[in-house]
Amino acid sequence: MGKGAARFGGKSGFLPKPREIFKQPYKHVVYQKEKDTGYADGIQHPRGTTRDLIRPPVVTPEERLLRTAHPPKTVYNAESMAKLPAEQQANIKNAELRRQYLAESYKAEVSRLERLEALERRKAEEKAKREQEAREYKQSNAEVYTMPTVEQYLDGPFIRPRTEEETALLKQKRQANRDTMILKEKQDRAVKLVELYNATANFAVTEEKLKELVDSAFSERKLQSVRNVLGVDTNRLGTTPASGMFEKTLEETIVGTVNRGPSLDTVEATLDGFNEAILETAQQTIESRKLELKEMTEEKQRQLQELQEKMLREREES
Amino acid sequence: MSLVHLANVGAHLQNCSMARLPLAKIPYTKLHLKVALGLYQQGFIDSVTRGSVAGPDPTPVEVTYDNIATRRLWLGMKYRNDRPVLSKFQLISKPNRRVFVTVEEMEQLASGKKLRYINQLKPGEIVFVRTRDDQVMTLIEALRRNLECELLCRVQ
Repeated sequence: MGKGAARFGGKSGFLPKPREIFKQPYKHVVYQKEKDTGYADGIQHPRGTTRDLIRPPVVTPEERLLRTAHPPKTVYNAESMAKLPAEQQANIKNAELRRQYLAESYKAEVSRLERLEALERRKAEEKAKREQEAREYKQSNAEVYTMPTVEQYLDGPFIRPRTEEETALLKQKRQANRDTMILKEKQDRAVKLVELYNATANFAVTEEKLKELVDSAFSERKLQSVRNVLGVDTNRLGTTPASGMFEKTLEETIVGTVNRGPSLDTVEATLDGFNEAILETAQQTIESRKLELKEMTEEKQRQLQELQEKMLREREES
Repeated sequence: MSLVHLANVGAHLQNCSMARLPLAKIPYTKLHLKVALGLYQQGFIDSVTRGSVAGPDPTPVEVTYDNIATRRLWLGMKYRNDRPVLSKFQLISKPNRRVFVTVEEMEQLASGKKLRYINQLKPGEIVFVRTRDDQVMTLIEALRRNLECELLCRVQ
Protein backbone atom coordinates (compact mmCIF):
# COMPACT_ATOMS: atom_id res chain seq x y z
CA MET A 1 0.00 0.00 0.00
CA GLY A 2 2.85 2.36 0.70
CA LYS A 3 3.25 5.32 2.97
CA GLY A 4 2.65 9.02 2.70
CA ALA A 5 1.90 10.26 -0.80
CA ALA A 6 2.33 6.74 -2.22
CA ARG A 7 -0.94 5.84 -0.56
CA PHE A 8 -2.67 8.26 -2.89
CA GLY A 9 -1.00 7.14 -6.11
CA GLY A 10 1.94 9.53 -5.81
CA LYS A 11 -0.24 12.60 -5.27
CA SER A 12 0.82 14.78 -2.40
CA GLY A 13 -2.70 15.69 -1.48
CA PHE A 14 -6.14 16.32 -2.77
CA LEU A 15 -6.92 19.38 -4.79
CA PRO A 16 -9.84 21.46 -3.61
CA LYS A 17 -13.11 21.06 -5.39
CA PRO A 18 -13.28 23.53 -8.29
CA ARG A 19 -15.34 26.57 -7.36
CA GLU A 20 -18.56 27.00 -9.24
CA ILE A 21 -18.62 30.07 -11.43
CA PHE A 22 -22.40 30.46 -11.16
CA LYS A 23 -23.37 30.12 -7.57
CA GLN A 24 -26.99 30.80 -8.38
CA PRO A 25 -28.90 29.20 -11.24
CA TYR A 26 -28.20 31.02 -14.49
CA LYS A 27 -31.63 30.30 -15.97
CA HIS A 28 -35.12 29.53 -14.81
CA VAL A 29 -35.37 26.17 -13.06
CA VAL A 30 -38.57 24.26 -12.44
CA TYR A 31 -38.32 22.67 -9.02
CA GLN A 32 -40.32 19.54 -8.34
CA LYS A 33 -41.41 19.14 -4.76
CA GLU A 34 -40.34 15.72 -3.54
CA LYS A 35 -43.09 13.38 -2.54
CA ASP A 36 -43.89 13.13 1.18
CA THR A 37 -41.77 16.13 2.18
CA GLY A 38 -42.64 19.46 3.81
CA TYR A 39 -45.57 20.26 6.06
CA ALA A 40 -49.00 18.76 5.57
CA ASP A 41 -52.09 20.93 5.44
CA GLY A 42 -53.17 22.02 8.91
CA ILE A 43 -49.74 21.36 10.40
CA GLN A 44 -48.02 24.51 11.57
CA HIS A 45 -44.38 25.14 10.82
CA PRO A 46 -41.89 26.45 13.39
CA ARG A 47 -41.59 30.15 13.84
CA GLY A 48 -38.70 31.71 12.02
CA THR A 49 -38.77 29.11 9.27
CA THR A 50 -40.51 29.04 5.94
CA ARG A 51 -43.29 26.75 4.96
CA ASP A 52 -41.90 26.28 1.48
CA LEU A 53 -38.23 26.23 0.58
CA ILE A 54 -36.84 29.55 -0.63
CA ARG A 55 -35.11 28.80 -3.88
CA PRO A 56 -32.06 30.79 -4.93
CA PRO A 57 -32.85 33.66 -7.33
CA VAL A 58 -31.95 33.34 -10.97
CA VAL A 59 -28.97 35.45 -12.03
CA THR A 60 -28.37 35.43 -15.76
CA PRO A 61 -24.79 35.69 -17.07
CA GLU A 62 -25.60 39.18 -18.41
CA GLU A 63 -26.82 40.40 -15.02
CA ARG A 64 -23.81 38.86 -13.38
CA LEU A 65 -21.52 40.55 -15.85
CA LEU A 66 -23.17 43.87 -15.17
CA ARG A 67 -22.80 43.38 -11.44
CA THR A 68 -19.23 42.13 -11.50
CA ALA A 69 -17.78 44.14 -14.31
CA HIS A 70 -19.93 47.11 -15.01
CA PRO A 71 -19.14 48.94 -18.27
CA PRO A 72 -17.23 52.21 -17.73
CA LYS A 73 -19.25 55.35 -17.20
CA THR A 74 -17.06 57.31 -19.56
CA VAL A 75 -16.32 56.00 -22.98
CA TYR A 76 -13.21 57.34 -24.55
CA ASN A 77 -12.76 57.57 -28.23
CA ALA A 78 -9.34 57.27 -29.85
CA GLU A 79 -8.74 61.00 -29.81
CA SER A 80 -9.61 61.56 -26.16
CA MET A 81 -7.79 58.40 -25.25
CA ALA A 82 -4.61 59.64 -26.80
CA LYS A 83 -4.74 62.68 -24.56
CA LEU A 84 -4.76 60.58 -21.39
CA PRO A 85 -1.57 59.63 -19.59
CA ALA A 86 0.01 56.32 -20.63
CA GLU A 87 -0.67 54.66 -17.27
CA GLN A 88 -4.40 55.46 -17.41
CA GLN A 89 -4.55 54.26 -21.00
CA ALA A 90 -3.04 50.92 -19.90
CA ASN A 91 -5.51 50.66 -17.01
CA ILE A 92 -8.49 51.29 -19.30
CA LYS A 93 -7.19 48.75 -21.78
CA ASN A 94 -6.64 46.14 -19.04
CA ALA A 95 -10.11 46.70 -17.64
CA GLU A 96 -11.62 46.27 -21.09
CA LEU A 97 -9.67 43.04 -21.63
CA ARG A 98 -10.75 41.70 -18.24
CA ARG A 99 -14.39 42.45 -19.01
CA GLN A 100 -14.02 40.72 -22.33
CA TYR A 101 -12.37 37.61 -20.81
CA LEU A 102 -14.96 37.42 -18.06
CA ALA A 103 -17.76 37.60 -20.58
CA GLU A 104 -16.10 34.84 -22.60
CA SER A 105 -15.65 32.66 -19.54
CA TYR A 106 -19.32 33.10 -18.63
CA LYS A 107 -20.28 32.12 -22.13
CA ALA A 108 -18.01 29.07 -21.96
CA GLU A 109 -19.48 28.09 -18.60
CA VAL A 110 -23.01 28.39 -19.93
CA SER A 111 -22.15 26.20 -22.90
CA ARG A 112 -20.50 23.66 -20.53
CA LEU A 113 -23.55 23.56 -18.31
CA GLU A 114 -25.80 23.15 -21.32
CA ARG A 115 -23.64 20.31 -22.56
CA LEU A 116 -23.86 18.62 -19.18
CA GLU A 117 -27.57 19.13 -19.11
CA ALA A 118 -27.93 17.60 -22.56
CA LEU A 119 -25.84 14.65 -21.45
CA GLU A 120 -28.02 14.11 -18.39
CA ARG A 121 -31.14 14.37 -20.51
CA ARG A 122 -29.78 11.81 -22.96
CA LYS A 123 -28.87 9.45 -20.12
CA ALA A 124 -32.33 9.78 -18.62
CA GLU A 125 -33.90 9.09 -22.00
CA GLU A 126 -31.71 6.01 -22.47
CA LYS A 127 -32.60 4.78 -19.03
CA ALA A 128 -36.30 5.28 -19.66
CA LYS A 129 -35.96 3.48 -22.99
CA ARG A 130 -34.13 0.59 -21.34
CA GLU A 131 -36.77 0.32 -18.65
CA GLN A 132 -39.47 0.37 -21.29
CA GLU A 133 -37.70 -2.42 -23.20
CA ALA A 134 -37.33 -4.40 -19.96
CA ARG A 135 -41.04 -4.02 -19.32
CA GLU A 136 -41.81 -5.27 -22.79
CA TYR A 137 -39.25 -8.10 -22.62
CA LYS A 138 -40.62 -11.50 -23.44
CA GLN A 139 -38.89 -14.83 -23.75
CA SER A 140 -38.37 -15.85 -27.34
CA ASN A 141 -40.17 -18.87 -28.74
CA ALA A 142 -36.87 -20.72 -28.94
CA GLU A 143 -36.31 -20.17 -25.22
CA VAL A 144 -39.86 -21.17 -24.31
CA TYR A 145 -40.02 -24.29 -26.46
CA THR A 146 -36.60 -25.64 -25.54
CA MET A 147 -37.28 -25.34 -21.83
CA PRO A 148 -37.11 -28.73 -20.14
CA THR A 149 -40.04 -30.00 -18.15
CA VAL A 150 -37.82 -30.03 -15.08
CA GLU A 151 -38.42 -26.30 -14.82
CA GLN A 152 -42.02 -27.00 -13.95
CA TYR A 153 -40.77 -28.32 -10.62
CA LEU A 154 -39.91 -24.74 -9.70
CA ASP A 155 -43.48 -23.57 -10.21
CA GLY A 156 -45.21 -25.51 -7.47
CA PRO A 157 -44.01 -26.47 -4.02
CA PHE A 158 -40.59 -28.08 -4.15
CA ILE A 159 -41.58 -30.86 -1.76
CA ARG A 160 -45.11 -32.25 -1.66
CA PRO A 161 -46.59 -31.40 1.73
CA ARG A 162 -47.79 -34.31 3.86
CA THR A 163 -51.43 -35.22 3.70
CA GLU A 164 -53.52 -35.32 6.86
CA GLU A 165 -53.37 -39.14 6.99
CA GLU A 166 -49.59 -39.11 6.60
CA THR A 167 -49.25 -36.51 9.32
CA ALA A 168 -51.44 -38.56 11.65
CA LEU A 169 -49.44 -41.70 10.87
CA LEU A 170 -46.17 -39.93 11.52
CA LYS A 171 -47.52 -38.61 14.80
CA GLN A 172 -48.51 -42.11 15.85
CA LYS A 173 -45.11 -43.47 14.88
CA ARG A 174 -43.32 -40.82 16.90
CA GLN A 175 -45.60 -41.45 19.88
CA ALA A 176 -44.90 -45.20 19.65
CA ASN A 177 -41.16 -44.56 19.56
CA ARG A 178 -41.41 -42.28 22.56
CA ASP A 179 -43.50 -44.84 24.47
CA THR A 180 -41.03 -47.60 23.67
CA MET A 181 -38.17 -45.54 24.99
CA ILE A 182 -40.02 -44.67 28.16
CA LEU A 183 -40.94 -48.33 28.68
CA LYS A 184 -37.35 -49.44 28.22
CA GLU A 185 -36.16 -46.85 30.68
CA LYS A 186 -38.78 -47.95 33.22
CA GLN A 187 -37.81 -51.60 32.74
CA ASP A 188 -34.13 -50.81 33.31
CA ARG A 189 -35.03 -48.96 36.48
CA ALA A 190 -37.21 -51.84 37.65
CA VAL A 191 -34.40 -54.36 37.05
CA LYS A 192 -32.03 -52.23 39.08
CA LEU A 193 -34.64 -51.87 41.83
CA VAL A 194 -35.11 -55.65 42.04
CA GLU A 195 -31.35 -56.15 42.18
CA LEU A 196 -31.12 -53.63 44.97
CA TYR A 197 -34.07 -55.19 46.80
CA ASN A 198 -32.48 -58.64 46.64
CA ALA A 199 -29.11 -57.26 47.67
CA THR A 200 -30.65 -55.69 50.80
CA ALA A 201 -31.00 -59.19 52.24
CA ASN A 202 -27.31 -59.08 53.10
CA PHE A 203 -27.23 -55.48 54.30
CA ALA A 204 -26.19 -54.84 57.84
CA VAL A 205 -29.19 -53.18 59.41
CA THR A 206 -28.67 -54.34 62.96
CA GLU A 207 -25.64 -54.39 65.23
CA GLU A 208 -25.61 -58.17 65.38
CA LYS A 209 -25.63 -58.47 61.60
CA LEU A 210 -22.79 -55.94 61.36
CA LYS A 211 -20.71 -57.90 63.83
CA GLU A 212 -21.41 -61.09 61.98
CA LEU A 213 -20.37 -59.55 58.68
CA VAL A 214 -17.19 -58.08 60.18
CA ASP A 215 -16.30 -61.45 61.70
CA SER A 216 -16.86 -63.23 58.43
CA ALA A 217 -14.81 -60.62 56.55
CA PHE A 218 -11.86 -61.12 58.90
CA SER A 219 -12.28 -64.82 59.40
CA GLU A 220 -9.28 -67.14 58.95
CA ARG A 221 -10.77 -68.67 55.80
CA LYS A 222 -11.30 -65.28 54.16
CA LEU A 223 -7.85 -64.06 55.09
CA GLN A 224 -6.34 -67.22 53.69
CA SER A 225 -8.04 -66.70 50.33
CA VAL A 226 -6.80 -63.10 50.27
CA ARG A 227 -3.27 -64.30 51.08
CA ASN A 228 -3.51 -66.83 48.30
CA VAL A 229 -4.42 -64.15 45.78
CA LEU A 230 -1.68 -61.78 47.00
CA GLY A 231 0.92 -64.50 46.99
CA VAL A 232 0.42 -65.39 43.35
CA ASP A 233 3.23 -64.43 40.99
CA THR A 234 2.12 -61.67 38.60
CA ASN A 235 3.28 -63.78 35.63
CA ARG A 236 0.97 -66.61 36.65
CA LEU A 237 -1.97 -64.41 37.52
CA GLY A 238 -3.84 -65.50 34.38
CA THR A 239 -3.61 -69.17 35.34
CA THR A 240 -5.17 -68.74 38.77
CA PRO A 241 -8.59 -70.31 39.15
CA ALA A 242 -11.46 -67.92 38.42
CA SER A 243 -13.34 -66.49 41.33
CA GLY A 244 -16.82 -67.63 42.13
CA MET A 245 -18.21 -64.49 40.54
CA PHE A 246 -18.50 -65.99 37.06
CA GLU A 247 -20.11 -69.19 38.28
CA LYS A 248 -22.52 -67.14 40.36
CA THR A 249 -23.55 -64.95 37.41
CA LEU A 250 -23.94 -67.98 35.18
CA GLU A 251 -26.07 -69.75 37.70
CA GLU A 252 -28.24 -66.69 38.22
CA THR A 253 -28.72 -66.28 34.46
CA ILE A 254 -29.80 -69.90 34.08
CA VAL A 255 -32.00 -70.08 37.11
CA GLY A 256 -33.40 -66.56 36.60
CA THR A 257 -32.41 -65.03 39.90
CA VAL A 258 -30.64 -61.82 40.82
CA ASN A 259 -28.54 -61.50 43.96
CA ARG A 260 -29.99 -64.82 45.10
CA GLY A 261 -33.50 -63.44 44.85
CA PRO A 262 -36.12 -63.60 42.11
CA SER A 263 -35.33 -61.56 39.00
CA LEU A 264 -37.65 -58.97 37.48
CA ASP A 265 -38.82 -61.47 34.84
CA THR A 266 -39.77 -63.94 37.54
CA VAL A 267 -41.58 -61.26 39.50
CA GLU A 268 -43.44 -60.09 36.42
CA ALA A 269 -44.37 -63.63 35.42
CA THR A 270 -45.71 -64.29 38.90
CA LEU A 271 -47.66 -61.04 39.00
CA ASP A 272 -49.13 -61.67 35.54
CA GLY A 273 -50.21 -65.15 36.59
CA PHE A 274 -47.99 -66.61 33.90
CA ASN A 275 -46.20 -68.84 36.36
CA GLU A 276 -49.50 -70.16 37.69
CA ALA A 277 -50.68 -70.85 34.19
CA ILE A 278 -47.46 -72.72 33.43
CA LEU A 279 -47.81 -74.71 36.63
CA GLU A 280 -51.36 -75.55 35.82
CA THR A 281 -50.44 -76.61 32.32
CA ALA A 282 -47.59 -78.71 33.68
CA GLN A 283 -49.90 -80.40 36.17
CA GLN A 284 -52.45 -81.08 33.48
CA THR A 285 -49.72 -82.54 31.30
CA ILE A 286 -48.51 -84.72 34.14
CA GLU A 287 -52.07 -85.91 34.89
CA SER A 288 -52.76 -86.71 31.27
CA ARG A 289 -49.40 -88.46 30.98
CA LYS A 290 -50.23 -90.52 34.06
CA LEU A 291 -53.56 -91.50 32.57
CA GLU A 292 -51.89 -92.45 29.31
CA LEU A 293 -49.32 -94.55 31.13
CA LYS A 294 -52.05 -96.25 33.15
CA GLU A 295 -53.99 -97.09 30.02
CA MET A 296 -50.87 -98.35 28.31
CA THR A 297 -50.05 -100.56 31.31
CA GLU A 298 -53.55 -101.96 31.42
CA GLU A 299 -53.44 -102.65 27.68
CA LYS A 300 -50.12 -104.43 28.00
CA GLN A 301 -51.40 -106.50 30.93
CA ARG A 302 -54.47 -107.41 28.95
CA GLN A 303 -52.37 -108.44 25.94
CA LEU A 304 -50.06 -110.44 28.22
CA GLN A 305 -52.99 -112.21 29.75
CA GLU A 306 -54.43 -113.03 26.36
CA LEU A 307 -51.09 -114.42 25.30
CA GLN A 308 -50.86 -116.57 28.40
CA GLU A 309 -54.37 -117.91 27.88
CA LYS A 310 -53.57 -118.63 24.26
CA MET A 311 -50.41 -120.51 25.22
CA LEU A 312 -52.32 -122.50 27.85
CA ARG A 313 -54.98 -123.44 25.30
CA GLU A 314 -52.39 -124.56 22.80
CA ARG A 315 -50.65 -126.70 25.44
CA GLU A 316 -53.94 -128.32 26.46
CA GLU A 317 -54.77 -129.10 22.86
CA SER A 318 -51.37 -130.64 22.26
CA MET B 1 -25.37 -22.11 3.62
CA SER B 2 -26.77 -22.05 0.15
CA LEU B 3 -23.68 -20.37 -1.31
CA VAL B 4 -21.43 -22.85 0.46
CA HIS B 5 -23.37 -25.65 -1.13
CA LEU B 6 -23.19 -23.94 -4.50
CA ALA B 7 -19.41 -23.68 -4.12
CA ASN B 8 -19.29 -27.40 -3.33
CA VAL B 9 -21.36 -28.11 -6.42
CA GLY B 10 -18.99 -26.02 -8.51
CA ALA B 11 -15.95 -27.86 -7.19
CA HIS B 12 -17.70 -31.19 -7.75
CA LEU B 13 -18.58 -30.35 -11.35
CA GLN B 14 -14.98 -29.30 -12.02
CA ASN B 15 -13.74 -32.58 -10.55
CA CYS B 16 -16.25 -34.58 -12.62
CA SER B 17 -15.10 -32.76 -15.74
CA MET B 18 -11.46 -33.52 -15.01
CA ALA B 19 -12.29 -37.18 -14.38
CA ARG B 20 -14.37 -37.24 -17.60
CA LEU B 21 -17.41 -38.65 -15.82
CA PRO B 22 -20.60 -38.93 -17.85
CA LEU B 23 -22.93 -37.94 -15.00
CA ALA B 24 -22.58 -35.73 -11.96
CA LYS B 25 -24.73 -35.92 -8.87
CA ILE B 26 -25.61 -32.78 -6.92
CA PRO B 27 -27.98 -32.07 -4.01
CA TYR B 28 -31.59 -31.39 -4.91
CA THR B 29 -32.36 -27.81 -3.93
CA LYS B 30 -34.12 -24.94 -5.64
CA LEU B 31 -30.96 -22.92 -6.17
CA HIS B 32 -29.09 -25.90 -7.59
CA LEU B 33 -31.97 -26.72 -9.90
CA LYS B 34 -32.09 -23.12 -11.15
CA VAL B 35 -28.35 -23.02 -11.74
CA ALA B 36 -28.44 -26.44 -13.41
CA LEU B 37 -31.19 -25.24 -15.76
CA GLY B 38 -29.11 -22.16 -16.52
CA LEU B 39 -26.12 -24.37 -17.33
CA TYR B 40 -28.36 -26.48 -19.55
CA GLN B 41 -29.72 -23.44 -21.40
CA GLN B 42 -26.22 -22.09 -21.96
CA GLY B 43 -25.05 -25.45 -23.29
CA PHE B 44 -22.61 -26.34 -20.53
CA ILE B 45 -24.34 -29.61 -19.69
CA ASP B 46 -26.22 -32.23 -21.63
CA SER B 47 -29.15 -33.05 -19.37
CA VAL B 48 -30.78 -32.37 -16.02
CA THR B 49 -32.55 -35.33 -14.43
CA ARG B 50 -34.05 -35.88 -11.04
CA GLY B 51 -33.00 -39.00 -9.21
CA SER B 52 -31.92 -40.53 -5.96
CA VAL B 53 -28.51 -41.28 -4.55
CA ALA B 54 -28.59 -44.55 -6.48
CA GLY B 55 -29.03 -42.91 -9.88
CA PRO B 56 -31.42 -41.05 -12.15
CA ASP B 57 -35.09 -42.03 -11.80
CA PRO B 58 -36.34 -44.29 -14.62
CA THR B 59 -39.87 -43.13 -13.77
CA PRO B 60 -40.81 -39.86 -12.08
CA VAL B 61 -40.77 -40.05 -8.29
CA GLU B 62 -42.67 -37.65 -6.09
CA VAL B 63 -40.53 -35.66 -3.69
CA THR B 64 -41.80 -35.90 -0.15
CA TYR B 65 -40.43 -35.09 3.27
CA ASP B 66 -39.71 -38.77 3.71
CA ASN B 67 -37.48 -39.17 0.65
CA ILE B 68 -35.99 -35.68 0.33
CA ALA B 69 -32.77 -36.81 2.00
CA THR B 70 -32.04 -39.22 -0.83
CA ARG B 71 -33.11 -36.95 -3.69
CA ARG B 72 -30.39 -35.76 -6.07
CA LEU B 73 -30.05 -33.96 -9.37
CA TRP B 74 -28.13 -35.82 -12.06
CA LEU B 75 -26.38 -33.65 -14.63
CA GLY B 76 -25.14 -35.03 -17.93
CA MET B 77 -21.61 -33.72 -18.48
CA LYS B 78 -20.55 -32.54 -21.93
CA TYR B 79 -17.24 -33.20 -23.65
CA ARG B 80 -15.92 -32.20 -27.02
CA ASN B 81 -12.76 -33.55 -28.60
CA ASP B 82 -11.98 -35.17 -25.27
CA ARG B 83 -12.09 -31.78 -23.55
CA PRO B 84 -14.78 -30.78 -21.07
CA VAL B 85 -17.22 -28.07 -22.08
CA LEU B 86 -17.50 -26.95 -18.45
CA SER B 87 -14.00 -26.48 -17.10
CA LYS B 88 -14.37 -23.83 -14.44
CA PHE B 89 -17.14 -22.97 -11.98
CA GLN B 90 -16.27 -20.34 -9.39
CA LEU B 91 -18.31 -18.34 -6.92
CA ILE B 92 -18.29 -14.54 -7.12
CA SER B 93 -20.47 -13.82 -4.09
CA LYS B 94 -19.06 -15.51 -1.04
CA PRO B 95 -21.08 -16.13 2.12
CA ASN B 96 -19.19 -13.36 3.90
CA ARG B 97 -18.78 -11.10 0.86
CA ARG B 98 -21.95 -10.81 -1.18
CA VAL B 99 -21.65 -8.87 -4.42
CA PHE B 100 -24.74 -6.85 -5.28
CA VAL B 101 -24.54 -4.77 -8.44
CA THR B 102 -26.54 -2.01 -10.08
CA VAL B 103 -27.52 -1.99 -13.72
CA GLU B 104 -24.67 0.39 -14.54
CA GLU B 105 -22.15 -1.91 -12.88
CA MET B 106 -23.61 -4.88 -14.73
CA GLU B 107 -23.14 -2.98 -18.00
CA GLN B 108 -19.55 -2.33 -17.04
CA LEU B 109 -18.88 -6.00 -16.35
CA ALA B 110 -20.74 -7.21 -19.41
CA SER B 111 -18.80 -4.84 -21.64
CA GLY B 112 -15.58 -6.59 -20.69
CA LYS B 113 -14.34 -4.28 -17.98
CA LYS B 114 -13.15 -5.06 -14.51
CA LEU B 115 -15.63 -4.43 -11.71
CA ARG B 116 -14.33 -3.81 -8.19
CA TYR B 117 -12.21 -6.90 -7.52
CA ILE B 118 -13.98 -9.03 -10.13
CA ASN B 119 -11.72 -9.72 -13.07
CA GLN B 120 -13.00 -9.05 -16.55
CA LEU B 121 -14.97 -11.77 -18.25
CA LYS B 122 -13.21 -13.98 -20.74
CA PRO B 123 -14.79 -14.92 -24.07
CA GLY B 124 -17.33 -17.66 -23.55
CA GLU B 125 -17.55 -17.03 -19.83
CA ILE B 126 -21.02 -16.78 -18.32
CA VAL B 127 -22.01 -15.11 -15.07
CA PHE B 128 -25.07 -16.36 -13.26
CA VAL B 129 -26.91 -13.84 -11.15
CA ARG B 130 -29.71 -13.95 -8.62
CA THR B 131 -32.33 -11.22 -8.85
CA ARG B 132 -34.26 -9.66 -6.01
CA ASP B 133 -37.22 -11.94 -6.70
CA ASP B 134 -34.95 -14.98 -6.39
CA GLN B 135 -34.70 -15.82 -10.07
CA VAL B 136 -31.44 -17.17 -11.43
CA MET B 137 -30.39 -16.02 -14.89
CA THR B 138 -27.34 -14.91 -16.81
CA LEU B 139 -25.87 -11.45 -16.48
CA ILE B 140 -26.92 -10.55 -20.03
CA GLU B 141 -30.51 -11.59 -19.42
CA ALA B 142 -30.65 -9.58 -16.20
CA LEU B 143 -29.30 -6.59 -18.13
CA ARG B 144 -31.99 -7.03 -20.75
CA ARG B 145 -34.61 -7.01 -18.05
CA ASN B 146 -32.93 -4.10 -16.28
CA LEU B 147 -32.81 -5.89 -12.91
CA GLU B 148 -30.40 -5.26 -10.08
CA CYS B 149 -28.98 -8.48 -8.78
CA GLU B 150 -26.40 -10.45 -6.87
CA LEU B 151 -23.53 -12.01 -8.83
CA LEU B 152 -23.56 -15.71 -7.98
CA CYS B 153 -20.92 -17.51 -9.98
CA ARG B 154 -18.93 -17.49 -13.17
CA VAL B 155 -18.71 -20.50 -15.43
CA GLN B 156 -16.22 -21.13 -18.16
